[in-house]
Amino acid sequence: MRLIPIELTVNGEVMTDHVAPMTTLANFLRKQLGLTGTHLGCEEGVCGSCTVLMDGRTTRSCLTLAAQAQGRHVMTVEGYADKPELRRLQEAFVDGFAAQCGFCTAGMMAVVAEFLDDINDGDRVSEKMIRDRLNACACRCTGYQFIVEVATRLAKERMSGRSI
Amino acid sequence: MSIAPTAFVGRSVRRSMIDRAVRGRATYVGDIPVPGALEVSLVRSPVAHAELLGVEVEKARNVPGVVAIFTAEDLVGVGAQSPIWDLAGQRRSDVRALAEGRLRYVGEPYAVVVARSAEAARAAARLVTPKLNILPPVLSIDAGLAPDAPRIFPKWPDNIAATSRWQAGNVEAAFAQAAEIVGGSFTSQRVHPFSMEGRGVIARPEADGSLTLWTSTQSIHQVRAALGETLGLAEHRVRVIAPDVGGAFGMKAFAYGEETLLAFIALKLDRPVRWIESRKEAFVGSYHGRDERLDIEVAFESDGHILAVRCRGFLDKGGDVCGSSIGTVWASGAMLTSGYRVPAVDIEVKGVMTNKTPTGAYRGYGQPEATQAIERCMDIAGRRLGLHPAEIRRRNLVRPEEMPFTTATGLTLDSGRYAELMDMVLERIDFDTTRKRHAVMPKGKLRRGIGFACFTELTNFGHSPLNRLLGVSTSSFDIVNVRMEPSGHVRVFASQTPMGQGLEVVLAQICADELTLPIEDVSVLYGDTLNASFTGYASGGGRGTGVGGGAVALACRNLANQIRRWGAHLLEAPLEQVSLVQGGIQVADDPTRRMSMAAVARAAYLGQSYPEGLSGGLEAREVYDPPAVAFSYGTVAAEVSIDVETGKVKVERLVFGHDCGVQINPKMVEGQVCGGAVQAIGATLFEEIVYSDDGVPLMLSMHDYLVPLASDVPTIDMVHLETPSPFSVLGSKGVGESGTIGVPAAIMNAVQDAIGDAALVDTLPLRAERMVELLSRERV
Repeated sequence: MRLIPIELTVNGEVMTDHVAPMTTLANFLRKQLGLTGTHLGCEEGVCGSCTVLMDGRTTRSCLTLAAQAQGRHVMTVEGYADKPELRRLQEAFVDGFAAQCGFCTAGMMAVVAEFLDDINDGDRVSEKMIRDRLNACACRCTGYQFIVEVATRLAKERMSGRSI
Repeated sequence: MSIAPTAFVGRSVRRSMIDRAVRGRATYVGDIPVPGALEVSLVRSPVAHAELLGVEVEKARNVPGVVAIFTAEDLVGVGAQSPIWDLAGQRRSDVRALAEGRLRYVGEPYAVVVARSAEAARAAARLVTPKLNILPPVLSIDAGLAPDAPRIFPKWPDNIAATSRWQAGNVEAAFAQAAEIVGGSFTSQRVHPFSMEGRGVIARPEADGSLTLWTSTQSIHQVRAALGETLGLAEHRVRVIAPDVGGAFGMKAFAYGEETLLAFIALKLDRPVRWIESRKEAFVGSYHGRDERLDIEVAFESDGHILAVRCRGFLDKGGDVCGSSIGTVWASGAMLTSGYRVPAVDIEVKGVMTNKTPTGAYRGYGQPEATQAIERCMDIAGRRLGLHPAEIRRRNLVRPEEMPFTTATGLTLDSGRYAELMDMVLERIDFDTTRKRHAVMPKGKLRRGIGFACFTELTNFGHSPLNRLLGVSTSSFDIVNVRMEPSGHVRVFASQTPMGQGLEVVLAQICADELTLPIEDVSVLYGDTLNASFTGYASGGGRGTGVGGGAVALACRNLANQIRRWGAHLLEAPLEQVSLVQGGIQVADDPTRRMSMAAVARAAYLGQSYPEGLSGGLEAREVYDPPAVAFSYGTVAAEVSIDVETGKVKVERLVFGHDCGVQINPKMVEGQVCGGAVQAIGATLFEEIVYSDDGVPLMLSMHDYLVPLASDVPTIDMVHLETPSPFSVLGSKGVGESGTIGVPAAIMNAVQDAIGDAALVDTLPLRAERMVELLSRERV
C-alpha cells in the first residue's frame, strides 16, 4: 500500500510522517503518535469523545482522515497544559467535578474550548446556548450538570476579561 | 476541640482521576500498549433463533494475517459459568463462551478470529458462515410464556428461568374489604446501559505460566473466579486488572464470555491477545437493562391506607441466565412495597427467556420498574379517593420512629425521614401553586403537568449468612488491608473497584480521617487482584462507600490502635492516654509529649524494641460484612410540558430530594444523583432497544439509539437530607442507583397530570408517537 507523506503540527510540534490513505486522524494520533488521550466512543461521528481542535475548531477525529490534517494545527488533550487558556479549562474541569469516568472528557473540553473562543465582547451567554453547544459531545456519567456549571463560569470569566 | 476527625469526610475533595483525564493520562483498556498482541474479532449470531449445525471457516482462514479461528468445539475443557444470583429453583443455561448447537439471540458469539491486525480479524470474521436451521424466535414475555412456545433451552420444561414469590397477610380479605382498588399493567422497556467506553479485554500469558488479564469491569475478583471456574485456572496464577473504566452502570458487574475466551486463546497460542468492543457490537453483546411488566393491584381503605399489594411480574431476561441477572427478578418484587407500610402482599415475579440479548444488572436493577408500578398506583388512588398525592403517601410512608421496619417482602428499612423529605421537595418545586397555575392556563399548544414520586434504594448489599436464603451464591463481605509504610504514609488495599464514579477518593477521605492524616499521605490501590484485597459481591448493590468504605474504616481503626500501642510504648505513657491527633500521636492534652506518624512508623520498622504483643511493621486487615442492607431514599418532582402537535415531552424542572446517610463527598453524591437522573430521563422519554419481527435489533448505532444530550435535560435542583444508617460503620449508604429509581415514575405522574384521565400512562418510553396517541384518546 502506498503511504501518504504528511506534515502537520500536533500540540505545537511540527512533524512529518507517513499514513495509509484510510488512516483516520484518531488512529494516527492514538496508534502512530501514542496520544491515547483522544478516545473513540462510536467511530461514526455521533458521540463526540474523539473531538480534537484543528486550527482551533472542533473536529471529529474518527471521521477525519489523517491525510486531511496536512498543513493543519491539531491540538489534543495532551497539549492543553502548554496553553494558558486551555490549562485554565483543565483546572476548571477538575475543580468543578466536570468529569466522572473521564472517557468523553477530552472531547467535551474541546467543545467548551471552542465555545469560549467564540464568545465576543458584549455577548449574552445563556444556559440554553451552552447546552446547545455541549450537544456536540455525549456524556453518560455526569448528566452534564457540572459541565454546564464550569462552562458558565469560564464564559463569565472570559466576558469580564479576567481570563488569561 | 480538634476538627481532625472530620477533616475530609463531608468535604468535596477533588479527584486525582479527573486530573489525569483532563491531561489525557487516564488509561482505559484500549489505551494499554501490549507489544506483539494479536487482535481478536468475535463472530456473532446474525439470527435470533436457530440450530447451529456447523461453522464454515475455510474462507476466513485464507485471509492474510489470520492466525487462528476457534469455534465451540475447539474449547476443549472450557466450562460454563455459574450465576451469582441463583434463586431457589432457578434453571441453568450452561451456555459456554461460544455458542454450540443453538444460537439464541442476535449477537451471541459462536466463533472467534485471531489475526495480526484488527482489520484482518474483522475482515475474516465477516467470511465465517454458520450453517443454520432457523427456528421461530420468541420475542416477547407473552410469547415466551405461551404453552406452545418454542423452548429457548430444550431441556427446560418451559421458558421460565426463575420465580420469586412473597406472601404475607390475608390478601384476599384485604381486597374484599377495600374501598378502592387501583391497578394497571406497568411496563419498562428494554434499554441499553451504554457506557461511553465499551467493553474490552487483553489477555497476556506470562513467562512463568501465569496470566494477566486487563478488562473493563466493575468486578475483578468475580472475573478471576469465573476464569477459575471456566478454565480451571488457579487464582494465584491469574492477575485481573481493571484499568480506568469508562463507565459501567451494572453492565460490567460480572464476568462475560469474552474474558474466558481471551484468556483461553492467550494460553493456547502463548501470545497476548486483545479485543476491543465496537459500538455496534456493544448494542448486541453487552447486556441490556429493564424490559419488564408488572401487573399490579393495590387495595386501599377509604382513608388512603394501603391494605394489600397483589402483583404478577414478568421480566424478559433474553437468551441467557448469567451473573447477577436474575437478581432483578427478586428486586422487582421485593422493592414493590417501597417505603410504605403494606400489611399484606401476594407477589410473584418470573424471569422469562426470549431470543434477545440477555438483560443484566443495569443501574436501578428492578427498582425503577417496581417504583413506577407502586408510585403510579399511589397517584391514581389519591385522585380517586380525593386525597392530595402527598397526603396519601404521608399516611402510608413508614415513620422514622417505626424504624427499623420490616416490610411484607422481608426487607428492613433502616432509617430515614421519608415524609419530611417529600415535603421539602414539594415546597422547593412549589407543587400546589404550580398545579393551580397549570389549572388556569389556557389549553394551548403546550400542555403542562406536575408530578412526583417517592422511592427507596437498596444499598450496602450484604450479610453473607443470609445470601443463600436470598438466592445469592457468593458472600457479600469486603476485606481491606491497610499498611503504614516506614515513612508514615499509608496504602489502602481496597476491596472495591472504582468504575468512573470516583470511589477511590471517598476511600482515601475515610482513611485520612481515621488516621488524622493529610489526604496526600494516603494512596488507595484498587482494580488489580494483585493488590486489591477482596470483595465477595463486587462493586454493585450500592456497596462502594457503605461496605467498601466501612471496611476501610475498620481496618484503619485497627491500624490506629496499633499506632497508639506503639505510641504508648515509645512515649512511655498509659495506652488509654495516647491518641491520634493531627498526623501524630499525643499523650492526652499534652502537646509536648507528641510524636509524628513518621517517627512512630520508623520505630515500628526499626524493631529495636516492641510494644507487648506487637511485632515489626504496621499493617491491619479487617473484614466488613454489613449486618443488614441500608436504604437510601428520596422524592423526585418533575414539571413537564407536552407539545400537543408533535407529542414531544420536555422535562422543564426536576427537583431531586435524596438522603444517602452520611455523605463522604457531597459533590460526588450530587454527581451520582444527576448522572443517574439524566440516564433515567433518557429511559423515560426516548431510549429503547426495538427488535424487528424476526428478532433483529434495530438499534445498532448511536444514530438510532438516542442517549440524552445536554439540551435534552434541565438543571437538576437538589434537596439534601442526611440521616445516618444505624447499620453502617460510618452511617453511609449507597447513592449510585438513586438517580435512576424515582425519575420515571415522577415524569409519568407529571405527564398523567398534563393529559388528564382519558388515557392511562403506563408504558415507557413516552416517545412522541405514544404521546400523540394518548392525547388523541383525550379528544375523542
